[in-house]
Amino acid sequence: MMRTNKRNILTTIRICVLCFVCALCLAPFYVALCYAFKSKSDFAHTKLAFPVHLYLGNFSDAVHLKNFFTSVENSFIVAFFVVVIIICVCSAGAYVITRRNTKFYNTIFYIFQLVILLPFQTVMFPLYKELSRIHALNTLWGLTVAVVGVNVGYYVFLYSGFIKTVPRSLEEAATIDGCSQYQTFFHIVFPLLKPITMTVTVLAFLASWNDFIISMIICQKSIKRTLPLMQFYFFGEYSSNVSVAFAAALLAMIPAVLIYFCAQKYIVEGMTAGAVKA
Amino acid sequence: MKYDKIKKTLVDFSFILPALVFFLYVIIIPLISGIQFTFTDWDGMSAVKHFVGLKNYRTVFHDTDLIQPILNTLLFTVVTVIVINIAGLALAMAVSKEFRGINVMKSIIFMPLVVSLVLVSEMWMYVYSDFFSLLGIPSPLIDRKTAMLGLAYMSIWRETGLAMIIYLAALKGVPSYMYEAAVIDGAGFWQRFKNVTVPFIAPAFTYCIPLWLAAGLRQYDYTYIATSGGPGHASESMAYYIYNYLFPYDKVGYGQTVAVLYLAVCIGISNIVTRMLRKREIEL
Repeated sequence: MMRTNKRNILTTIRICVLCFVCALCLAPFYVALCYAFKSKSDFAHTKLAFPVHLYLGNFSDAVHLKNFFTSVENSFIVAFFVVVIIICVCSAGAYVITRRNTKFYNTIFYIFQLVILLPFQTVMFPLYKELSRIHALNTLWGLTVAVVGVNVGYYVFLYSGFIKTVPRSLEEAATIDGCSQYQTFFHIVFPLLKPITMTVTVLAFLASWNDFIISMIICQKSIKRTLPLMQFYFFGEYSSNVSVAFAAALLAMIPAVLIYFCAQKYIVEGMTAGAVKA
Repeated sequence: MKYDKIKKTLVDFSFILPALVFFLYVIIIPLISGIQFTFTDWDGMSAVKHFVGLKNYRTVFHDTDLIQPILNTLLFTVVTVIVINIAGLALAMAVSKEFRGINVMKSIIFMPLVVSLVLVSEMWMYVYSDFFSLLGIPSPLIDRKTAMLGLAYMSIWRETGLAMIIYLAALKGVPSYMYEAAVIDGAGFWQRFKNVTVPFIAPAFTYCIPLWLAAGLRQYDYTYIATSGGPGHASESMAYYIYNYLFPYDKVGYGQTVAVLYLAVCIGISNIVTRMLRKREIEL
């Protein structure tokens, strides 16, 4: 009897602590929502009290801001191409690295992994100069190339972890049946990689969607800015009207949050791969 | 026969080639030309650069302005690594037993990770200024002593959920009969944790600690967005210091020198820590 009582108390404490942590996690969103859903005069009076009258003026101001939709479009274009290119080049690269397993490919793999530790500041300036030389500054394709290059190492690493678990027998059968190596990869191996491809899609999308520092260097011009960059400048320029900036930022967050709730399983799988030995 | 072998090698190589091209173009070539800049006094724009030998390297070791960013970065890294890992592990243990609503809670705790660093910084700036003022606490970002901790807390808020998810996956791998055996042997909570849980989830430590170590050493965005290094230089991180020399100050030669040394230190620290953790993993 004593024992169950003690356990009940412990469970209650545990749930209370968890609720408190959840509240901490949600608190900043609440502040952002307060700003976004209250008119300026309302906010001046009620501050952080629960927004009773939902005021949508800030959102309509936000979408009418110059370049809001241009930024949305830029972000989508870059994220789309980053995801497509990453999937193609990383799956193929990881395939040959894991299957050949020679000294040459292992060295490449090792260097790819080292770069996961590389601070972007080390390559930032030379990359900026090089992109400016080929007139790729303030272009979306320049940004795409840079984002792909910075992330290639990590996604090759994720793919190769998965490919190790795929049995070779199917590929051998395909080779005996006369498939070329390309056919084997595209028709046999690639479809088997679907789970990790989903994970990579979601992670690469989020990485590109939320990237700040690379866009900041490459796409300064206002019509080429991506969403995080646009948000950054909004908060600077609209410091007297933070409500509109928060409304815009919350709108920009919607795709990321939607993806998070739909694809949480894949995010979790990708993030925990490598941490836990199978 | 020989022709076939060459063809096979080329076909193999063609698989890695696209990834390699991106990687060489964006990382390796800039890295090498960056190292070349360290031997010059280039301002980043003019056509002429003068070769100055090792002068920049000598300057680095006499640069007293560097001390503050180094200390700031170390403080940020130590605080985030310790708090994120301990809180993440504690939360993972708290949510590892199923009960109603647990999945919603896990989703909420993990969600800050999908918010962009810009929005995280902005939200916290207003939490610090508005919510804290309701409680009568001054914003940590305006005080020299607490500015870096204010930034560290943003990172802790955003990433503890990720640590929780990783440790949770590791905890699922601990066989339950080990706990049952420990209970029969009369082990208390702390002993079970120390002798059963920790050895089994050691690979997760080896993964998580270097992960946040590297993230902390590279910290840039929070400083840039939330404080611009201020007040004074109190929240300047190494990455931000380098950025300033490369872009606003136009001292590329020197900035790049600091960047290269900083890269070496980052890789060095990460390697030493990873090696130590691996060794512990085997001993456990």
